[in-house]
Amino acid sequence: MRRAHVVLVPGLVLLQFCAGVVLAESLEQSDPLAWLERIARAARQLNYSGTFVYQHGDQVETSRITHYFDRTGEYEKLETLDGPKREIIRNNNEILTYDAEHRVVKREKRTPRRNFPALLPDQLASLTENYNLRKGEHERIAGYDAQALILQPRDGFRYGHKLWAEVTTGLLLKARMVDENDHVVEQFVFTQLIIGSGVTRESTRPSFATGDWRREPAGPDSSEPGDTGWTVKSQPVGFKKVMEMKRFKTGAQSPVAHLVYSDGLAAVSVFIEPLPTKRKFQEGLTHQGAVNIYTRPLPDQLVTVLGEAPAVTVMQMANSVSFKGQ
Amino acid sequence: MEKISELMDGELESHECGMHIRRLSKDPELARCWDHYHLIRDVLRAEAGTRVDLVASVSARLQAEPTILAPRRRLQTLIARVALPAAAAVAGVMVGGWLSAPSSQPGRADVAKLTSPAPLTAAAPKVAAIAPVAAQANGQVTEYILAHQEFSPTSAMHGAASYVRTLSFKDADSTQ
Repeated sequence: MRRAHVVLVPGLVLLQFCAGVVLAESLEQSDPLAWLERIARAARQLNYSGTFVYQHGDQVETSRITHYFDRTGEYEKLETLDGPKREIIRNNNEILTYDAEHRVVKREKRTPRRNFPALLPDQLASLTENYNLRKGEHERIAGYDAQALILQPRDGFRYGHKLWAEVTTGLLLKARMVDENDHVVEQFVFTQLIIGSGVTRESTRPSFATGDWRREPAGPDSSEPGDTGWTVKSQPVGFKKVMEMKRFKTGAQSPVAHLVYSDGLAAVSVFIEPLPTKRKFQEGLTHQGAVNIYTRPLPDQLVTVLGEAPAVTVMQMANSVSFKGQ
Repeated sequence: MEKISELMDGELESHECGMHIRRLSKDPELARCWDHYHLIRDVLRAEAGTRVDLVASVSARLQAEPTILAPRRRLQTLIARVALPAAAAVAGVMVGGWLSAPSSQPGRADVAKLTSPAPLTAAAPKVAAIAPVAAQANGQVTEYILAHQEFSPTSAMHGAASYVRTLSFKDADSTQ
């Protein structure tokens, strides 16, 4: 349709009017912001199963992913194909992590995301303030035609992103995060993929018989949105608070404060808990993939700040956490 | 000299930079100062990998000492009040140092680089210079990452692929 639009000459105004409806639709699809919304929607609502390669630093790992969606909700399975056998199964608001090597299954309760759309409209607005968003070329990935989208950050407080979305469904086929010097921080790409038919609820079940495995009921039992008394005084420009809640854990006397800041694309979470006396914690800057983690003990509290943002961003936020009182 | 520090830290406007670089090239005393600042930065940079361990080991040593004059709680608070801000200050200086120039060679070569206004107007430090270590097995951090990803627009687009970070076998939680 875009090509058709290009060949229209000014004299064919009438034809343009006639094609108005179709054009409006194609324009919507061609808008890079609309593409991001499609990608987020596709990730939640499509049925798909495939193998993807995950790369961060000098590590390359292969995993298989299956996503199933119906009226009863979302079901996902991610299994590692390299190294120790591990799986994550998600059944709506429950996440189960299976570790075949240690014969452990861990259960985490998710915060229901029903009231939290994948991409908030005001987040999309702030996204355009913090990133220069444009469409890239068409490419073929895992046998599918993909539209590339480039999100160039306005400063070094956020990573650059390049996304490749399948043209007809919007499913993300490849994603790359780069730092200021254009070095790849993290990348994943499907090498084989089935979209739609052939994916069943059954294919999201765990692969292990776990009768004699150890079960760890971990994770917050519940969470409650609202004021925690904590704030971040000087977060990098463009990051706004999008969520604040208290997380209540089994066996813990005090809740954990959880604040989320986002620039429309990247998010940084701030967790504040009473300084642990039994559990060990790794102080300073660490990472898991592209997620940078900065752990900073205060006299009586432990601050953990993490997000898919450069180290300087999580450090600056961790260093400006303060208690404003409730 | 304060201006030299600001120049190194990339805090000056581009027109000011030009002026102070000219001062540097004329005044041997200032030039020596410039070299010293770079030396300090390089030493700090070399220490970057051990700064956290230093605080931890001092803290551990102090805790191992017999408590005579003060309860341990006070000592911990003292460490938190003195040692941690000091470590933070060191980290701050290092970040500041990295602002100035990506070159690993201290000295005049950097002056030429600084005449280009581009790196000076950049709002954030050179983040590639900060190299976090892979997180050790830590169930709590894994739990936090999973909780975080619920609210991350990036994760929303990546879908279930985001979970791979917590399953990645080399630097993820071992669920021990």
